[in-house]
Amino acid sequence: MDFQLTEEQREFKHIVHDFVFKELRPMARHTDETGEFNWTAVKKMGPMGLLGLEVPEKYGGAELDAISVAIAVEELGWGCASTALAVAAHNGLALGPIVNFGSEALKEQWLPDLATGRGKLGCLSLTEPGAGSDLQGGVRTTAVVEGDSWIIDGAKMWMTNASISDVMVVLCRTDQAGGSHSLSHILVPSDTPGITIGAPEKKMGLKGSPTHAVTFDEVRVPLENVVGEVGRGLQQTLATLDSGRVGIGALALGIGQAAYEEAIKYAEERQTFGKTIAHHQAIQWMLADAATELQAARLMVYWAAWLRGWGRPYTQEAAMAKLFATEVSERVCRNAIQIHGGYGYSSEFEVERMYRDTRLMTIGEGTSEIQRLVIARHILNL
Amino acid sequence: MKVVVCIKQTPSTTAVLTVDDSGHVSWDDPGGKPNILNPWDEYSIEEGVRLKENHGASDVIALTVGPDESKNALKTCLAMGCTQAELVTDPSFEGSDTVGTARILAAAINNIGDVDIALFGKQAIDGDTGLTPVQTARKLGWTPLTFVSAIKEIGDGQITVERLVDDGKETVTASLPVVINVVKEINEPRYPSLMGIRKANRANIPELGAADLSIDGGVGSAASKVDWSHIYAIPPREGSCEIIEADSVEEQARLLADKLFEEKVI
Repeated sequence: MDFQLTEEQREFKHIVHDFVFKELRPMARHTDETGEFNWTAVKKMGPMGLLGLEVPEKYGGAELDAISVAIAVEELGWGCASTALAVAAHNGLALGPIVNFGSEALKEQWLPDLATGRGKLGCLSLTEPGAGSDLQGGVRTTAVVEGDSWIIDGAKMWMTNASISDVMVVLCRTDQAGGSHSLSHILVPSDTPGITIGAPEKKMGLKGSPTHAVTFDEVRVPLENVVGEVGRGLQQTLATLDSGRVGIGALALGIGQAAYEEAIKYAEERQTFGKTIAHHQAIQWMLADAATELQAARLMVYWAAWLRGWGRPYTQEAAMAKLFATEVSERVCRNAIQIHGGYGYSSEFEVERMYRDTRLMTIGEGTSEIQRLVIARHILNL
Repeated sequence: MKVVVCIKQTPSTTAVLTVDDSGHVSWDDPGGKPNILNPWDEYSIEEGVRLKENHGASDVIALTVGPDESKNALKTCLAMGCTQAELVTDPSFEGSDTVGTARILAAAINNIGDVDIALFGKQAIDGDTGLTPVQTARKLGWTPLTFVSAIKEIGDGQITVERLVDDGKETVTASLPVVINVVKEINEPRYPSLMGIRKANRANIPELGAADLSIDGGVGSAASKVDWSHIYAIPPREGSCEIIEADSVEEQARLLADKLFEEKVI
């Protein structure tokens, strides 16, 4: 058993940390306050490999192992959760299905620009007004064959990156009979006529990561744009979400780590009753709990990533890692505010933003309740 | 065109230095990476890689003199796009002053052969002398072009650069080969790529010693003109805090101003 990162993984961590420290962290407040997407930093991520984390090198990607991917997402989350979410969704949710299931032609056409920052980002389109956790029964967006094209009609919601994307991987119903083989992934260029991208949703946090409602009105794309097999959309989605959950766990971990560091810094500066508040036991306990829980969450995220890297089943472990890491992150951010006292509630201090940002992590890519459901089904063989 | 970039591994910018009673200096870094590529050298590496990308340089070779650990800085150079890296290391080099280092670098550059441009950063953040580039040019017998903020043109055996001088900018042309040290205005260094790191970790970095370069004397602590006779930690600064009490802000300001005049601060 070896708990050490490899030399290469340590080096990746340093490089990404250094980049995030210089390019993302100083802009995080501006990104939150204005809602402007940090393209300046994201464009620099392309040549570094951060926009093609798991894309094979032959398409211009970094072809990283699963643990290095988790490390990269954690570091991004440490610097700016908004930008991290956009980049994680681009890598895991949009490029994931293309890399893992897409045809050679689709890979050659789309990956080189998407993975290197020459193009914009990608997004995955699952949720609908009537379909969130219940995709199999709920998805109403349809794709029907007409000649050599798919014609797509429907409405999607909560699409991360839609307005900053070149492509959307859209989950469509391709068999009206329903069932687990009635859905398919179809790659749709974001500028295809018939697509309407709504205004950015107004959210509690993650304001620099645009989220949109998108409608598809007789959107026509070639039949070859199906990603993977027709009828395998649900299975491909679940596989993509498994890996996405490790990513969200890593992202939440990064936010929690940042809040913890801010809390330590403040506790060592702020004085009450003649000593720094770090000398008060009530504060020490919160910090000790945060350090312990972050450590446990990190091990769970790495463990799920390690299983994925070795091609072993990891659905249950991914759900556990996401459930635990996101809830830990929320608790650590909450207590970081508590340690800051009144200042923590002010947007002049970073922890206020971190608390708002991390709140989504227990909801997106499967709520905590869905994670518990997944875990329960596995342990009870249901 | 062959380009050599002379780099140095230095303590990290966030390293915490400790000096013990016997004058031994050690350092550690809270981020876990105590040694890094000298930040000024990132600009010369970037310029070297751009000479490859924009001016057709065939080789961009990162070169350093230092212990085996310095290979990590060379790997960063490879990850940024250098085509090769070379470590010059020998126990007899230890304690070299800048002239000694310049002698070693010149020998290594001559050993590589057919080099047109030797690039340096402005200075290293540890010694902070900024002497090595010019001294290396002297040992090579090449023209030194210092504080270069732009490479304008290369062709017909000549190079035209823009220099940042005290009262403005100066454009000069020199015959190749030249030694150039660059200022940070010259470019924005790229970050090492994740693909580059993987390549760098697999790369074979050759090591050359004194015998390989036919260096016989003039290097190491014995030849050094710099004497590190007394190394000690900077004593902590002592200060006190005084709060000026008064009935109004205006009165507080007046008392503060009087005090500052009294102490000859203003």
